[in-house]
Amino acid sequence: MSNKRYSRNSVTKMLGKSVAGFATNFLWLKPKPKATSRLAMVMDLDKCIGCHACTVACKSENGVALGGSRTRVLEQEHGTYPETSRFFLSMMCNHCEDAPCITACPNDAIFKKDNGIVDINKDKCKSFGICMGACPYGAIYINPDSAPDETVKDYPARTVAKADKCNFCEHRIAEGLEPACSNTCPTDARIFGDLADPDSKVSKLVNKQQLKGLLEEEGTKPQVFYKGGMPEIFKAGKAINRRS
Amino acid sequence: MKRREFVQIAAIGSAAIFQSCDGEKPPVMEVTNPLPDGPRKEIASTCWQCVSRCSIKAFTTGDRLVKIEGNPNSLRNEGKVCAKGQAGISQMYNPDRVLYPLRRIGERGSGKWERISWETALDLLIEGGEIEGKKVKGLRTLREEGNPEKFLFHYGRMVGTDYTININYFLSAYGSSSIGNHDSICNRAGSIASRLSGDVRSSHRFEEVDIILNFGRSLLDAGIDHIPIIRQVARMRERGVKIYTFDVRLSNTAAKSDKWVPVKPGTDLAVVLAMSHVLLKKGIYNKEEIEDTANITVDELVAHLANYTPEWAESISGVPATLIEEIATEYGNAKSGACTSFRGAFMHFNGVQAQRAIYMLDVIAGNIGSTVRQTGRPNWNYPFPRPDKPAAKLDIFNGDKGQFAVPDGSVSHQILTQIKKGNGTPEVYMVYCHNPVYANGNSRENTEVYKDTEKIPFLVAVDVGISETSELADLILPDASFLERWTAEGKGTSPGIPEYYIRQPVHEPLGESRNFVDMACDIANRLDLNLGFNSAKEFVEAACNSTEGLKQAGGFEYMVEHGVWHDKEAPIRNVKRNKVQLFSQRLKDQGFPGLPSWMAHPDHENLKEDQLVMTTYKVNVHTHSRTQNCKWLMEIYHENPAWINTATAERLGIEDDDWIKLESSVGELVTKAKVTQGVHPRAISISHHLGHWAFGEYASGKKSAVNSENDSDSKLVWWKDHGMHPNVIIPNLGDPIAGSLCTNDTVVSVKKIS
Repeated sequence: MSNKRYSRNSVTKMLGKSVAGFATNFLWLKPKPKATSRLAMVMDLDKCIGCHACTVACKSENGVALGGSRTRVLEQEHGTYPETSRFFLSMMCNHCEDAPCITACPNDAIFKKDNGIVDINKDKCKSFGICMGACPYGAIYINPDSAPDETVKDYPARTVAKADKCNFCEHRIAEGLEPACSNTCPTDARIFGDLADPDSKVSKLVNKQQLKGLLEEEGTKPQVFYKGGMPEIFKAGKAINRRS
Repeated sequence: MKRREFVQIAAIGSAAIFQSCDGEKPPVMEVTNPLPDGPRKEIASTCWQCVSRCSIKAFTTGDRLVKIEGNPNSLRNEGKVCAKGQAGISQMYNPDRVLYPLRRIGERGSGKWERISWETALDLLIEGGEIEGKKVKGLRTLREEGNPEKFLFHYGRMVGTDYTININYFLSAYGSSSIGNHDSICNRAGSIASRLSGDVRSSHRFEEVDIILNFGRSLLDAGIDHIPIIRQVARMRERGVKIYTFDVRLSNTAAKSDKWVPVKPGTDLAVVLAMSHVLLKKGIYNKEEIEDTANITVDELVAHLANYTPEWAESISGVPATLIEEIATEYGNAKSGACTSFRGAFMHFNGVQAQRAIYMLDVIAGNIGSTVRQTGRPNWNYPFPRPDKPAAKLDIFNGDKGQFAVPDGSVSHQILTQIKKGNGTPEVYMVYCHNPVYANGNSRENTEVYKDTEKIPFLVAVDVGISETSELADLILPDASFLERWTAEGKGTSPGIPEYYIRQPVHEPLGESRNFVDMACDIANRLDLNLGFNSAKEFVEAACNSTEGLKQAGGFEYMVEHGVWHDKEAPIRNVKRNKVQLFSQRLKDQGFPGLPSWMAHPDHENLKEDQLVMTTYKVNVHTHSRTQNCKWLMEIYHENPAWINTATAERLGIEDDDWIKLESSVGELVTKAKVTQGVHPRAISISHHLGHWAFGEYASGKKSAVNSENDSDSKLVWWKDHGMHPNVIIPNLGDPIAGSLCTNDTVVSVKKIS
């Protein structure tokens, strides 16, 4: 694959660091090292045109079954005719620093990686769905089509369904590619990168423009940052924690 | 109350009984989630989900196509591809794909089929035979009898070498010029306006202008150059370029513009005329430049436009006079601007005049000047002698005599009406990649004509699925999807450099499906037509290896690897353009005003209390009628309630989500209301992608006769609503000049039903 908008060098460098960190962490030879990368996404809502290229990119890249979604684009109408406007809001897992889903999972199936990705260990997931309720962003769904889990024989209905959500397309990052959604965004409204790298585009955007995440008052420290016009009603989360 | 009860047309073909007589169904690719693990192989090709045709890269794991991305080698789409393009995977794998030839058993449209072999199918097509006890003539007989024009070929989407081979070689060698297209349900009014005005083409790169006036074009939703235009507009926005969008509806494009200016349906023309008036009155123009560019003097323009004041335009369009003046002034004073338009402006009774008025405004504003940048279209070489274009042609492509001023042989949505009237009988009527029943107006009448075995003795559909039209056919020939075929084609780019593409199979055609172009070569061989080549691939390869520039760059081999080629050093030229014919003698001779002038729609003058004008529109995740078996797109967009303005709804006692009935001169439609502040109070607006009654489970909720149950997603479809199709109640009329279908003019009475 050769989608090189996101420079292969910088990703490999970033990934190399996080892989190294991961290995030492796993071997318990040393105290847990300081995380060396903080993967993040900036959503430029001024640029987003609500085209759903990201939605479909994600579905095909990750084989997401119908009924599930790792990323969504919400839209809302505002104002009174003829001064009417419409806003789009791209949504995905916020890979929170203090992720409520991690705390909520009774099976310790959700964990944060050193590169910042919040991921789900499918072997540990028992599909209780508590994470779904805990996430203020509606970012998690139970995948009706994930591989069967032979270990949960008492709950056959649950054997084919596991919690699932965005993992920044980690398999693509490992190949030096950017996530499927930002890769195809026709207006470059999704910008992916490493906040630990002060020279990255996301760092510059987030730091210079003091960008905020959604529902920061929940204390989740989201790692998806929003730029541009967002009506209050989105901020209040009324439309956000709802899976259509 | 179920709304389908109201639309009897939906009952056609719902009962499908499949009988297999020529053996078992072929093996079908199982499509399951999650995706197979393993390395991905990359194949460069070209999209064909919509007319934009972006350059793509397809990725396969083992034998399975898993992903479509944009090809970064293209200057046009720059590595990006839209939702539709990526969902193209379903064009191959959707469970309702036709994978073997089918012959009708039972009445036309009864939904009963038998599977036949290719040999039987081609025998039937070429030699004729019997269909349900009725003898039909084949292609050989028509030719031998000296009536090759009785072979009617009616296509919807066909480009590049697909077009060249099918039309310029196969049909020409066969001897028929009875060729229908889909022009008059698309941009015909716009292209005729351009032709009447001296082949005017805008020479702008959006990236170079400072202001855009957009009349009814969904630039960011569904442009004919979808991703390339989005990229250009995005860069333009970064420069702070202003966009004003005039539209009856708050499209996503309007929402992302600096201002949405709602207009009464069909009155863009009045607004544009008044803007020209403002520029002349305020002296914002360059006399010499106008007179150098157009075939008219400024004095004549001033006299012609004298009465088209902003106040007059306000009384017609509802757009405030002050706003018209303000925007016109800003437009005229900008260093460089561009008007852009599409169906919102010209798929109206007065559409040709509206588009011509837009050219007039741009001439006055100095944005259409005396020179034009050459668009730089690709110049393929096809090294095979081309047969002469035959003269034999049925007389069914112009509507009635005198019905349209400038029919020019492609009033395509009137073909069925003409057949119904007995003005021509196609003994063999082949529909190729088109769905006229659904795509034209008045679907019910279209269906009736197609069902008439006297008027259309032998109806053949070449299709990837069983569409509303294919389901009425006698014979369905399974075409290869766009991911399984060879085509050479190309487009101009924003910088003016031509770009060359190939479309190559990312997978062998599934089942027994075949690229129709290969089929045409076989048919030609059996009829001894001697085309000089035997397959699409052979033709494409020869074209790549003999086209100047590309040949030197590596020819076919290069294209197979990269999918796209352009010469970055290609010269970009500005040339003197022909005089813009703001005054059209041809229109004058036909009894129309020679200069762009106001034309009121007679039906829109005195609307009753409950009457609104129904307009239709496109959304960003569907093409008109070819993407509805694409599950991911249907999951995103499967409901299309009628947009009705909040104040209008209140007046009519309609609340959000109420069931409403729309009644036009040709039928009724029951659908849900979406009460919104985002549509003009005089309009009711419905998108035109949904409400399929054929195609299959994703499109219509009903499995087709050939459903192969190969997709694990089938059982996970969570939506029950499949929308309603507005064309069912659009009269199949045309505008008086170009004969273009007036999709945005239908007067409907609207009432709430309980």
